[in-house]
Amino acid sequence: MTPALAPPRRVGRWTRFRRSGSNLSALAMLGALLALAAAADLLAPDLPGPRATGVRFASPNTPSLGERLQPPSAAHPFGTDGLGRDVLARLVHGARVTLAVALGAAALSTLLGVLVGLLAASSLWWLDGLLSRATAALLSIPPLFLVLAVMGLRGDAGPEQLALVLGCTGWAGVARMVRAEVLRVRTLDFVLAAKALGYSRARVLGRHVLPNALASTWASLPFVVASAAFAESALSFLGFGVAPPTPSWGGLLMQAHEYAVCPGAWWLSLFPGVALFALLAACARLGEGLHEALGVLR
Amino acid sequence: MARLAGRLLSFAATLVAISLVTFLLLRLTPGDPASLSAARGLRPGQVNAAAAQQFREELGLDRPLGVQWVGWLRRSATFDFGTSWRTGLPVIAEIGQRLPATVGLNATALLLACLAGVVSGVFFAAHRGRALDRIGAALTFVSLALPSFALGTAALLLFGGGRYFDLIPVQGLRSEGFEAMPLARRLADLAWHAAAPVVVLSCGSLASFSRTVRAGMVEALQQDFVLAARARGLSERAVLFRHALSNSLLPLLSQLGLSLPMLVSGSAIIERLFGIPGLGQLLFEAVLSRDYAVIMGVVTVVAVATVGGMLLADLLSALLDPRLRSRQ
Repeated sequence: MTPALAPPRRVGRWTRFRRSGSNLSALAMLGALLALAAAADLLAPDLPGPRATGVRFASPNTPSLGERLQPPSAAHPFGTDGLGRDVLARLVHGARVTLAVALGAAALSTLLGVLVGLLAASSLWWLDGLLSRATAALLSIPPLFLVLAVMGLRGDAGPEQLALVLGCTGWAGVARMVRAEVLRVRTLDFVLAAKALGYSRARVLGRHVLPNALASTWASLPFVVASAAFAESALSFLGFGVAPPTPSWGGLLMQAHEYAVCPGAWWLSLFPGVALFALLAACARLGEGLHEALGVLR
Repeated sequence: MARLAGRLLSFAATLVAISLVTFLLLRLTPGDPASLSAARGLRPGQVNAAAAQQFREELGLDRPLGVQWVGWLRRSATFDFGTSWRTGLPVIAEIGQRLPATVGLNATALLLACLAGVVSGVFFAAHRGRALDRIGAALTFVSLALPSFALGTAALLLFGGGRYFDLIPVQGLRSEGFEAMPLARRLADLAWHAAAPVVVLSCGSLASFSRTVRAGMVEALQQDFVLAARARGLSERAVLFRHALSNSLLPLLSQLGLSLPMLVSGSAIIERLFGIPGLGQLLFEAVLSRDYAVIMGVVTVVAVATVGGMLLADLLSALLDPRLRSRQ
């Protein structure tokens, strides 16, 4: 006689997610970066005009030519850049730009990707062919070349336009995933069971197919945010991102590049580089953690 | 054969779709190329109406979008992208000048990433669960999340001969007097200039290849055929490299094809960072001077080359996979 198998204990997704310490630290890191971005105006108010002596707050956009390229000190914990602006203040304000663009672009491209994926997975074969070809084409064009060309033709842009362009060019990966998942889930037994119970098409699709098919999309959201953040920084690094003097992390790294060899201003590249790395690493870890917690394959 | 034909057909369809996507995205972008190019040399806001009209007629910009696209498709199929406004040279000639640097940079970086990725992946899989494997996992995680421009800036800062070490050249691919050097010196000079850009560019791909190979190896090492190979008394090296590795090369190949667009994207940044005269730099210059024909040409050529590379990886994996071969 075989011993009766104990029914598997249902473990909540949050419980599964919480088990890994690195998931929690990734979440904490993202929270800290978001809080930093939200509090940018409190930490470093953007005050026009020369800074009053004795004021501890540094303004991100006020040049101070007497303090050019100073290494980190008590007055400027992260040093000053080539125009004497405080790097810490610019970093904090750059967090706002980089995160806003990344989150906006990721939201837009997820929305577009889900729409296109669902349309492609619908039963119209010509629509599927058309959308799948467009998706494949967009996936195989090196993204930076495309975005660089579009941004270059648009001229100076604000964060909104940048997010719009990145969102409109970044949806292909999501679309392909959604299409494949809908096609896969549609053939599973529980969908057949729902159909056999006589549920309406809309109910089967909305209550049974979609929630399961979109699980991998939610789990991949941090990856989409990370790639948008990377694209924003790369574009700003090349000088086609958010127009100066608005700081973004990529823009800070571009300036750091100018002063890297001569005079070797390490503080200009170290702090924005670490910040960007922290964001990308936290997103990557969070995405992997979500995949494990939601039980979806990559 | 049917499989090959299917691949080629889908390749052709993707090429047509690429031309449509680039055409639409660039054409629907606000910023009228005709008035922009005609406005060059004039004050902002001032437009040379006659020049703009002439330009529109030359490129057929006054015709319906569909007609324009068919014309664009026909011209790009023959690599006729028109002439550059900046230099007056045919666009394809300008691209031809810059193509070798970009292809060389990407191909060398890809080769390095493959070799180092395979070796490190096998190494970590052989030491799986031990300290070295953990260190390796941490290293690959870090280099996956580290943006190449931050890494490149750090390399220039530390080794560019400024405040710290003088190990790598800061700009370009050639020293002064390159033309006069004997062949061996020329090659050495090229290698010295290309070393830092290639290493920085390959870092991200290397990490992802290493992960893929490690995952495939760990899976293969638990299979019965590895046990059988060990039981026959084969050396550990033969087991690892001849038996287990050949089973984890296929995922690597598909990973390789998928990683191409990101690699080529990264090379645009690296070219800018290290002043390498490649296609990324050409696009950069063209965008700065709104050289519309060059922009369209570069994006198309880069996309076609990337898709070609992906097709090659795809065909190669079909060729190497015995399961697919025997089905024919």
